[in-house]
Amino acid sequence: MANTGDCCAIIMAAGSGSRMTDLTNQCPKALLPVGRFPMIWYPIRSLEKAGFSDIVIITRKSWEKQMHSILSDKSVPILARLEIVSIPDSEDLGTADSLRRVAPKVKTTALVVSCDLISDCDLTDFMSVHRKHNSSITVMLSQLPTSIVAETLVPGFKSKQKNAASEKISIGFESNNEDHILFWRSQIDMDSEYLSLSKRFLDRFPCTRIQSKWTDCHVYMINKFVIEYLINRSDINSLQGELLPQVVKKQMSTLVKDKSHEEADMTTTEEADMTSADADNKPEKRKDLIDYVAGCEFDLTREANFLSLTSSNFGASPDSPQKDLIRCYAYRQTAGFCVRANTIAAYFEACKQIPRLMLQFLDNKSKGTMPPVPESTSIKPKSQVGADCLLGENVEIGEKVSIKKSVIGRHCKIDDKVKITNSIIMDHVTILESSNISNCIICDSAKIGDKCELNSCIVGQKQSISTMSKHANEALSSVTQMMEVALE
Amino acid sequence: MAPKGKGRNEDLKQEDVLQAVVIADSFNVRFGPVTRDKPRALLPLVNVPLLDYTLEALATSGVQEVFVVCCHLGDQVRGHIRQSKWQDCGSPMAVTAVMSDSCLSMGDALREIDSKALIRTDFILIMGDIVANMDIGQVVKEHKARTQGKDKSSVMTLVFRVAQPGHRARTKEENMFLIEQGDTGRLLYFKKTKDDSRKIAVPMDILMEHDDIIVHNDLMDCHISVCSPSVPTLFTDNFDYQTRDDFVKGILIDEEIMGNKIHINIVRDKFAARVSNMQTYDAISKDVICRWTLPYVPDIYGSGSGERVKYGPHNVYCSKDVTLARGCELKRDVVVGSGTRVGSGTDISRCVIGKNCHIGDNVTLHNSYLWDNVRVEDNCEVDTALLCSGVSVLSNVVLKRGVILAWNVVVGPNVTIAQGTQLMSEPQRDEFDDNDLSFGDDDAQQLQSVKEKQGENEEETEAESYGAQSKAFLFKPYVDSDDEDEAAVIECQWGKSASDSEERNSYESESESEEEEEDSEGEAMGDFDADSEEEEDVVDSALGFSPKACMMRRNTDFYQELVDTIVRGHTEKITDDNLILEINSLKHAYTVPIDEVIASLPCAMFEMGASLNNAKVTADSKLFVLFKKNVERYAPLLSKYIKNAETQLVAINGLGDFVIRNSELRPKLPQLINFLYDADVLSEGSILSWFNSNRFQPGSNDALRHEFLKKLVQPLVKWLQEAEEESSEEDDDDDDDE
Repeated sequence: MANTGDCCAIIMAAGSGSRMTDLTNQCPKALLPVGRFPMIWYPIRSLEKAGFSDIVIITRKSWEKQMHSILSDKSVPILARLEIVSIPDSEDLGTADSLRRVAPKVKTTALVVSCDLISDCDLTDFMSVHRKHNSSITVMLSQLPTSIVAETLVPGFKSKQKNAASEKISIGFESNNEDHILFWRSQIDMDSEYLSLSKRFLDRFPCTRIQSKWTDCHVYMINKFVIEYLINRSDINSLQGELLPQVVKKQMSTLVKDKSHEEADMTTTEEADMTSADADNKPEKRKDLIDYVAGCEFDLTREANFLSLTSSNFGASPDSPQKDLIRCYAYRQTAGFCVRANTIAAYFEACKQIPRLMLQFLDNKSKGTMPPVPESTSIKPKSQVGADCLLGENVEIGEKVSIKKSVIGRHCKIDDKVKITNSIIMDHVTILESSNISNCIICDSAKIGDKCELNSCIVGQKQSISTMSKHANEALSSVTQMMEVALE
Repeated sequence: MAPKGKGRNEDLKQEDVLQAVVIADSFNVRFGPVTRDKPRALLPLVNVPLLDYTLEALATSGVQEVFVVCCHLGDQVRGHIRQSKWQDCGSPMAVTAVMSDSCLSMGDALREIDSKALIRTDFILIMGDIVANMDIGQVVKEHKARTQGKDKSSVMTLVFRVAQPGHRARTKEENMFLIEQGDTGRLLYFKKTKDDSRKIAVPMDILMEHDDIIVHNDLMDCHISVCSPSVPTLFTDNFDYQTRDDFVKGILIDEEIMGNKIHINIVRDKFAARVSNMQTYDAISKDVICRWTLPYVPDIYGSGSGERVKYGPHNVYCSKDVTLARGCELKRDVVVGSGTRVGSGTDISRCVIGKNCHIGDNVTLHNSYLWDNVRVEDNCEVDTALLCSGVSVLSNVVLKRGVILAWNVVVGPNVTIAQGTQLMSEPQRDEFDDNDLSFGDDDAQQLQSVKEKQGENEEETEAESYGAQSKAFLFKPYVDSDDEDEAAVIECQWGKSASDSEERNSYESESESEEEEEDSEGEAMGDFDADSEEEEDVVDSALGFSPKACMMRRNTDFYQELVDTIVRGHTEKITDDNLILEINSLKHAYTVPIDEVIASLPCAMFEMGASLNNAKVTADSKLFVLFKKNVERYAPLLSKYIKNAETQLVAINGLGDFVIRNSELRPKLPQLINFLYDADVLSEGSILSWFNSNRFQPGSNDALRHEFLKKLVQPLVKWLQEAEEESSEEDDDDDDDE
């Protein structure tokens, strides 16, 4: 097991799933089934693989019990000790607020993972990037699978969705140290005609590669001093939207106050004047991120950085600032599968990929006990279940059924001559004779009448679809549920 | 050399011949008095003419045919080429001089090339003052691969060299910022930056449209480019392209229409740089001495004539027949040309000394460039100076930093030449005669005598300040249209090293303070606010708002033409209908919006009065009388344009801008409006609705401007309101104008 040091693993599971309300109005996002397990199991598993034995889960008060019961279920193989911390439901709290609640638990670093991360990548690689650069905050980036980037037909929508286009982020990397993040800007914010780059920035980082192809996986390694800063800045709500861009920006700041204390001999008279003038508004300055870093940085480290010839702007003029005390780095994942199941499209994609990836998530012990088709499943003759399918326990499948590229939950009843392709069927679903279901998501306890034709639909919880009905590109849920969505 | 003569070249397929165009003129005067007598391409750098470096670089890159465009002092360039080794029968490269005295820019030179139809294939375009050891042939190959492959529309590949900000070879005027497409090397955005601008605004489209871009502030232009054969034609088609930067800008702007693209090539481990001013001359000389330009270093390439140069420790290069007296010291980075004698007790460091120079005893030479036949007598001190061929510095002279002594100047004895002085051996001629080199001897003499008479006294005092036996005249740096003050020119010439250190310190502290300022505001670097401050956006203290920001954009050419048209119409008594036709055609000619015509017309009426009276626009009462008359006379014409409520508002705003521009008229704004009101051009309703309009954001510039104008118009409005009340009391049958 890898050494996790003093790192504290935190899973953010308080998100409401606002981008996929059709699915989350009945079930917390973290507990939506992906394959055979709730979504949150996957990040837990990733952390376990990276060597974490204690994991903090932040969830909402009202979900706490449900979360407890599901995660302590023996059918869900979890080795780590889980500590579930709840936050009030009432306020709409962001990720930064959640982190503030558990801040005392963080000793040196926090590894923050979102509950919707479904990835087969190795978190130890990510953590080593953080350690290698002694980073203040490290972000995991990945390229979306092409199947999501391309405009695919997503269940429940009339038109093809331009997926995630609006959430594109422009991220600038230093060109000769491509892990180093210099620039972070969401494209939604860029409504102005011009982007103005300050001369100071350009002089310090003369060559920046700005790419928009990366998605933020919402996996962060955050240094203690940043969290301390966060505690005092209650106006910051979200990690990605506010804290991260701010920290990226603050990389340019230099520690002036400290200099007047310890390097007085090195500062010129003008600078000394500056600092003394600055001392007057000290209380204000105290709040800045750079002041928190001072406690963490060793003098020797700073000295070494200052003298280093390998610093990126070697050969630059001596007046270019050298004090990079705040550092943002990225771990850029290029191989493997990584998706944030926070939209219906991404969720759908994750569910479909899971049968293929399942083995990588399971540990050796449980590998044998998890066949794609469990023994408790009864399949009548002349039915076909494709190898790319995943079936839950106690599923009853009738005659001449054909199931392809689909995931089927527990205790489902599938009658004769039903065809299911490319779909996600959750638990306790009943599908009557001769229905044809393709490209659909069918939620818990739904009932589909016979001879139904469903194409690219979402069927809500406990919905009954009447016999012979035909639907395409619709979200089928009851009126009251729709009202709830509207009220939210 | 291989028997690959010219005759052989012609046998080759014409497309296979790699061509290059060398521009042997800088089209500027960065070298001050030095380039008045010798073109920049022939100035020696470490004792070798610059043009030879350029041609050598081309030859090693596999170029077979070179056209050297000679403009300023072209005869000298041609002469140099005729005597060069390239004219030998075994030469691998054919060098042809293209004489074009009339060229004033690189654009002209390329148009000349185009008109002579010399270019058959992709070619290298290079300035004649480049030192490079890179393989330009490789760039040509890349360019060809691009044009023959997927990117047929690439017209030019620009070569840049990596140079971090603060690099000594980076000059203020050459500072640039560019954006490259990440994977293809396509140039997306290009901007020259002056040091004083603190922010660079990049069009957001670039970020939105391209997923992968590289923002460069770490590049230096090498002034080497590989061009498609269409480039000269493009220069001919667009006669406003003067420089390559114009061209690049033009291509980038018209990219969507023309579909032409520009790519860049970045040199990382080879050398390529242009001698564009004294700073780069200094930097590149040092690079040559420190062997960055291998094989173009003094001991290998140094003297084409075959004489031997010995390379010693600490980068000291001595020619074979140098005479060094006992006790003289060549410290480091020194090149001494053949036939030079150095006296005892002399101390030389970081210098280049040409052929047949004579350095006396106890001389200190530091960081200086002495060309051929220079004489520095005993006990002189020279620091960071350029001494052209034939210069004599008599004994006990101190040259402070940044001095330039042009050809054959004599200074001394016993004087100190101030920092940054530029001297030449003849009095300065008039700037405009500078380019006219063909005048006869008589003219020259005449001119000389006139000059002498004029400035006799002055010259005497000058001569005294440069020493009793001096032959030196001050060269006043030509301040060109960029509004550069002298200090800036000096700085450009010698770079930071020569500009006084105080200034630099202040700059530093300034930048520090900026940092803190920004930090404390919590908006450190890379802050990308939408409205970058424009220089012109300055708040006028008298007005309380910045006038430029809120005034309607206007085309001054159009406005002037409009005034002229109306004046002509008035004097020639053109009928209103025809005048309207003329005004409309003006509108189309200058492509101005109709609102601008409307806003300009009343102002033009006023200026017409002024110009008929040959007076300037003042608050003279005579002008008001004229204005009143004209308005009455042209009321029908004005009403054609200013016809409804909306256009009347535009007209009032136009007048508002007019009085903001002409501060004297500000108190008279009510009168101006009143005249238009009297002539029924403006209606009462629209004046009031203009007055009461509050469509501006409170506190914004527009709102402030409106407040300001409102105050001016207050009396008129008051009067109008009173009149309105009276009339409404009396009767109500007045039709509303609207």
